[in-house]
Amino acid sequence: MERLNHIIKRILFLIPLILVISFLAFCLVRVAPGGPFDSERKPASKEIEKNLAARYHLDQPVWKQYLYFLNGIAHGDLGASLKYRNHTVTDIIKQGLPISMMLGLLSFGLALGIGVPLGFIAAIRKGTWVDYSATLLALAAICVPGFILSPMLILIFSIYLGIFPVALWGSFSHIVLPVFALGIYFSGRVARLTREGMITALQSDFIVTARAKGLSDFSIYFKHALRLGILPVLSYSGPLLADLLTGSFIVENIFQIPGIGVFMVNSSLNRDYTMVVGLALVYSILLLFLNLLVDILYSYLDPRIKLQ
Amino acid sequence: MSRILSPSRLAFRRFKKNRLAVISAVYLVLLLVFILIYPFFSDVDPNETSEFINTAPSLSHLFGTDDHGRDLFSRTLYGTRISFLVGSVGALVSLVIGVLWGATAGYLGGKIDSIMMRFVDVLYSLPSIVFVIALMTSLEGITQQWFSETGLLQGNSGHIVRMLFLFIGLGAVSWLTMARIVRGQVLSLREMAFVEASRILGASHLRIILRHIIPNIAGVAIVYLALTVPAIILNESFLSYLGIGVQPPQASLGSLIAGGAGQINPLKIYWWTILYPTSLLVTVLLSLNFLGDGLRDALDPRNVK
Repeated sequence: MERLNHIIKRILFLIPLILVISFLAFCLVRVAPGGPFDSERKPASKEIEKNLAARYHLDQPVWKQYLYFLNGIAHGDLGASLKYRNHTVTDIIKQGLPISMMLGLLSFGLALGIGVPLGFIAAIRKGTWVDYSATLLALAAICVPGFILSPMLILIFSIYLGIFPVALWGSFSHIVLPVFALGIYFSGRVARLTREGMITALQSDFIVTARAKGLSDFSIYFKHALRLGILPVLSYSGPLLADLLTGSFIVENIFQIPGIGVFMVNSSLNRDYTMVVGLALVYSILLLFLNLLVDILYSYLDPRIKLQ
Repeated sequence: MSRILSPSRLAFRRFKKNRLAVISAVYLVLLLVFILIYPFFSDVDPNETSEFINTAPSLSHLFGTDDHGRDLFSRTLYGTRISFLVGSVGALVSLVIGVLWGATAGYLGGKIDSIMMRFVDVLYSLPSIVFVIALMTSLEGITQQWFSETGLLQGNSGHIVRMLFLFIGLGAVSWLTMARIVRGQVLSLREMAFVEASRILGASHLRIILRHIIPNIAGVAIVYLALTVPAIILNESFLSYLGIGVQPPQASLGSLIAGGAGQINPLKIYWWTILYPTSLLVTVLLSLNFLGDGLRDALDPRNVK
């Protein structure tokens, strides 16, 4: 019961935080000089420019625009995209987000599926060649930029071997390469965190006790140490999932996947104000809720930590 | 052995035992020396175009040439220099902001601390890429306007300005973790007996900060600094891919790779345009990470055996 109260309190606390974040995102893109219509055909008359600005409330002071925006949100409307006319931001997010989320979830699974075992093995064989090669592998995964990994994967698996399609989004076989391109980097991060967490866990007193009691290696590693050693990965999972679920620019761009990762970057480059704020809002809300979820899970896995 | 070793000597001894870290340090030093003295021995201009477009590596062009006929060997070395420059200056910017912010919050404590750290939380929850792009484009627009109005810095100075904003922009999104780490350290240091003793003896805040706080967070800061450099180099390469990194014809490792990767097509692959800059970037990032890990293991007092 007390725990439930805590959780409700924390959720309520998120509301002002989200307001501040959305306001900051709102101001941030607006500080940039130049507006979203600067690249329009130039001979357009002053009247047309004025009308455009009035249509999107761009002639009002920033705080008033923000109030318009908040009013829109209250009606479930994030406004119209300034660059993709005839599309509302809500529409674009509704179309793209599920695709990005699916790609992100699968990549998250891959990152954990490769990263946790790799880090685990490295930790229990610490200081041996197994550890060194696992560490090297994990670091290599982090150090190869995505925009080089993706074309390489396409070149090898689509063009030379012809196993998977080059790009686009549709059947299962379309999903494989982008998931690897996205997941491999994060599996490296996860492996490093798992290794560190496991090493710390294996040094703690209760493991020494468990060993002294004569428990089997299997039970020490899997039942006792892993539960504690996985915690760094758990805390990383919040930001990681928020990143993955909101799409990756590089992977979506190279594989021509209609997610929202591409919009995130393009809209900030194009100063598509409503779009940037809408997407930033999605990201922030996702991140805050995931972090809350992580904290709750954390307190279950490590009872020494109390939910604050 | 009865000699008493200073903590830094002990740390150095631990560092030396970490073979990967030592090899990385040697590699980085050799590479740095090489790219710094190379311009004095070669008269190849990295930006000079020629009619030899996309030629494979040969004796006259060790790494081949790119789509403008520029010598990739000198461009790669030059790009490595730029990447190092962006990485280290960006990391220094993040160090300054992060340490000042974190130390102030931790030292003052109370309300100010919680306001300052909430601000960090808010920045954490913004997508950092949006943050960087908005920061870079707005800074650039503002200063370009300013420069054209005042008439300062005319002509070919765009790339210098761009570089400055890369430093600031990348530094400005990388200081958050540093601030959190430093704040945590300062918070616990503040309560230590030796700090309290010094306060009772009448030491000023400034003296406590300079004498006791800063030296004690130096280790953590150095370790995190070493790990920030590769992160910033990688971030710069992403910005180069987006076209808002270093300004052409200047090159960084990231922009070289992005340029090469942009030309991948199934008919003809100019592998040298990708392979060499990529191997350099990956080895540099790997060794910087190994170095950072080694420094952490050496400087972290929990590892004392």
